[in-house]
Amino acid sequence: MSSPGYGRMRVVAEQRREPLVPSGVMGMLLFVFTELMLFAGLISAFTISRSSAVVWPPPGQPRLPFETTAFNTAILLASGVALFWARRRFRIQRASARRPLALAIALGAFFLVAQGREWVAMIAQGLTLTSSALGSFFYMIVGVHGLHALGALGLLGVTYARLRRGWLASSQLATAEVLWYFVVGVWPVIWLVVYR
Amino acid sequence: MSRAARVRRLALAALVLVLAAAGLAPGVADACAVCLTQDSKAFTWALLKGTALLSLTPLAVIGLGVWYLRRRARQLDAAEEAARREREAAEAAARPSAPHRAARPA
Repeated sequence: MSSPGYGRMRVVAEQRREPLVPSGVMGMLLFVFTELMLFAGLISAFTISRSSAVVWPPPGQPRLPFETTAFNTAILLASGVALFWARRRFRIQRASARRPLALAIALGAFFLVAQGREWVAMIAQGLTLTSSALGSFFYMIVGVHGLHALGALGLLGVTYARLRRGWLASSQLATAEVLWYFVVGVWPVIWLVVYR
Repeated sequence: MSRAARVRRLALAALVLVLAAAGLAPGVADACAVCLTQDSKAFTWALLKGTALLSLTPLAVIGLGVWYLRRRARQLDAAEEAARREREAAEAAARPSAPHRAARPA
């Protein structure tokens, strides 16, 4: 027969149960969900605008560099794979996750710099924010993605610094992972829809 | 008729009216300046794709979330149950065994 004290202990034990999803990860998932809808709205608007145009790209506007950006897309995907590898290493031995995490950050930074160079080239060819609907959508969608990539890289940088000092918790790595996988996952869709 | 029943009947009538209005509304939607500026097949397809993307994305994300949470809850339940069984087995092994019947004096 269980005593009232035992019952109370059980209640306390049940209350202290591990959360289904850590708070940081949950917050990031909610943020990513709202951002996903933002991108869905932008891509949807772009698709409708493009389909209503008689000629695409608009007259006097350059064609977007689909083939060149394919390489950049591969770099970003490789960055996602490196982060996945970092998680696996983190489970086995925390310190060994440093190298793949640094690689993920380096590849992500390369992607951002390459995107910046692409913007400079596009502006030089006459594609600006106000030159046409293509320019407006291109700089809006790719720019919003770039801002997300920049923010996520910052978070990955903080994650790396914490890992170096030995302060990194598994849930903190998971929070950064959610944002970076979102940045990596949404890019191929942008590339296929906007650049083609 | 009781007051609660009257309120229920009114609510039902209001619901029927709203549904009827929704059914007759597409004529009003024709006023959309964006939807009706073009009449090409590509444009209709783009509108359909956009609508599908914006409608299905949240449903897919919510479905995925519910599926993950259920799976995780089951995993935690299983781990908790295994730990409880292990604890009970350890307690039973540590408990002193009852004296044997044959050893008792007659």
